[in-house]
Amino acid sequence: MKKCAWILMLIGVIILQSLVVPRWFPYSWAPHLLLDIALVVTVLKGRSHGMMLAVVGGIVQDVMIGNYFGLHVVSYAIVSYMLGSMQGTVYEEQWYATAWWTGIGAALVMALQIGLLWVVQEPIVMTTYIWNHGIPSIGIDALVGIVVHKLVWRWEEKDEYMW
Amino acid sequence: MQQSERKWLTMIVILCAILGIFGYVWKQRTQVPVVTVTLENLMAPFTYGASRFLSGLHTGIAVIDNGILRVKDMSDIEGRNAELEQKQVAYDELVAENIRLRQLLKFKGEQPQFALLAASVVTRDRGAWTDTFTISRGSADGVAPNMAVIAPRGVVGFVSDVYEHSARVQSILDPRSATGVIVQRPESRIASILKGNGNLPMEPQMVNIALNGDVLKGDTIVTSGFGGIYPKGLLLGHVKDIVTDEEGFVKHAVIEPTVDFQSLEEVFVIVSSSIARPEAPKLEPKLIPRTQRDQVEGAKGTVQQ
Repeated sequence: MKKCAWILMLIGVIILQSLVVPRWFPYSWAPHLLLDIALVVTVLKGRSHGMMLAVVGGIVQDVMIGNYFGLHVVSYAIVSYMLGSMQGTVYEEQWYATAWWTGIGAALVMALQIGLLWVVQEPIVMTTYIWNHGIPSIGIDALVGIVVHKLVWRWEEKDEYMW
Repeated sequence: MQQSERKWLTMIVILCAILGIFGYVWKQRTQVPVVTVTLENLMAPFTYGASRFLSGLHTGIAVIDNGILRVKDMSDIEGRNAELEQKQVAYDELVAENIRLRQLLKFKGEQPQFALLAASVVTRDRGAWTDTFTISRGSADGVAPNMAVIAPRGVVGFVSDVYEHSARVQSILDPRSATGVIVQRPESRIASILKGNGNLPMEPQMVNIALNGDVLKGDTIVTSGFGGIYPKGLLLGHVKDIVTDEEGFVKHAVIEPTVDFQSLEEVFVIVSSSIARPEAPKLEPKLIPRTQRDQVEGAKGTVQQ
C-alpha cells in the first residue's frame, strides 16, 4: 500500500513537472519538483529513501527530456547522498531548516550540473547561467521545500495513526 | 334525552339568542347615537392601536418576507452569476481556442507548398540545459524523425524522436540545435547558423558572422534551406542585438524568436514540402594539366576556345 502510494505520488509529480509547471512558470523560475521532493525526503526520512527518489526521479527526467544522460540523475544522487547525513536533525516544526537545506541542495545540484556541462565542453557561461537559472530557481525550490515538508509530515502522521 | 344533552342544547340556544340580539343591536347602532358614539369613543384608541399594531405587524411581516425573498433571490442570483461566470470562462476559452484554430487553419491555407499535420503540445520538458517537448502525433500519423515543426508565427524545431502516437520535438532554443539561417534583407542575404543558447534560453544566437558582415538590429531572419530539415524562407525571428566574439574575429547576432515558446499549444509538422531543396554546390575536382588550364578557365588576355 505504501509503495503504491509512493509510486502514485511520483507519477503525479512527473505529470505536474511536465504539464503544469511549464505553463505556470517562466523559463528560469520553474521549480524542480522531483529534486525538491527527493531533497526533503532525504532530510526528513533518511538517505535510503531520498536516494531512491533522487535516482528514480533523475532517471525519469533524463530519459523523458532526452538530455545528456546523467545530468540529472548523477547530480541528484550525489546531493541526496550528501544531505543524507542530515537525517534526524530536522523536526516537524523546523520547516525553515528544510527550506534552507532544500535551497542548499538545489544550489549544489546546479554546481554539479555546471561542472558536468563544462566537462562535456558545452559553451556554458557560469555567471550568466547562475544569474538566469540559479538564483530564481534556488529560491523557488526552497519555497517548494516548505510545502513538501508540510505534506510529508502530514502524510507520515496519518500513516502512523493508521498503522 | 339525558340531562347533560339537554343542558348543552339550552346553552346553544341561549348563545344563538345572544348573538342574534347583538347582531340586531349592532345593525341598529346608528339609530342610537348615545350607544354608538360612546362605543366609538371607547373603542377608538383600541382600534387605532390595534390598527397601528396590525399595520406594523403587516409591514414587519412584509419586510421579513421580502428579506427572505431577497435572500433567496440573491442566493439564486449568486448561483446564476457563478454559473454565468463559469459559462463566460468556458466561452472565453472557446473563443480563444476558436481564434487559435482559425489562425492555424488560415496559416495552413496560406502554405499550399507544405503538407502540414496539426499536433498539440502535450508535455514540455525543460532540462538543466536542453529544451524539448512532446507532441500528440507519432509514427502512426506519418511523423518521422527530422521533420520540421512550425507554428503560424515561425519555426519551432524539429522532430528528434518518434513513438507510435507521440513524438519529441527539439526546439530551436535547445543548445544542441543548429539551424541554417539567412538574413532576409535583399542587400544582405548573409547565411549563418542559428544555435540555441543554454545560458539564456530565450536568446538563440546567429553565430560566426564575419566582422564586416551586413547584419543590422531588427533584421528578419529566415531559414536558408541548407541542412535538409527546414524548407527555405520560414520565419525565425528578428535580430535583437549584435555582439562581437571574445577573440574579436567574428560577431554573433542575438535573435528574438517570433514564436512564443512559453504559450505554445498547437504546432504543425511539415510532413512534405514541394519546395525544392537548394542544390549543394558541386565540388568535382578538375584534373586539368597546368598547361591546358588557361584554355579551359580562360586566362586574362586570351580568347577562350
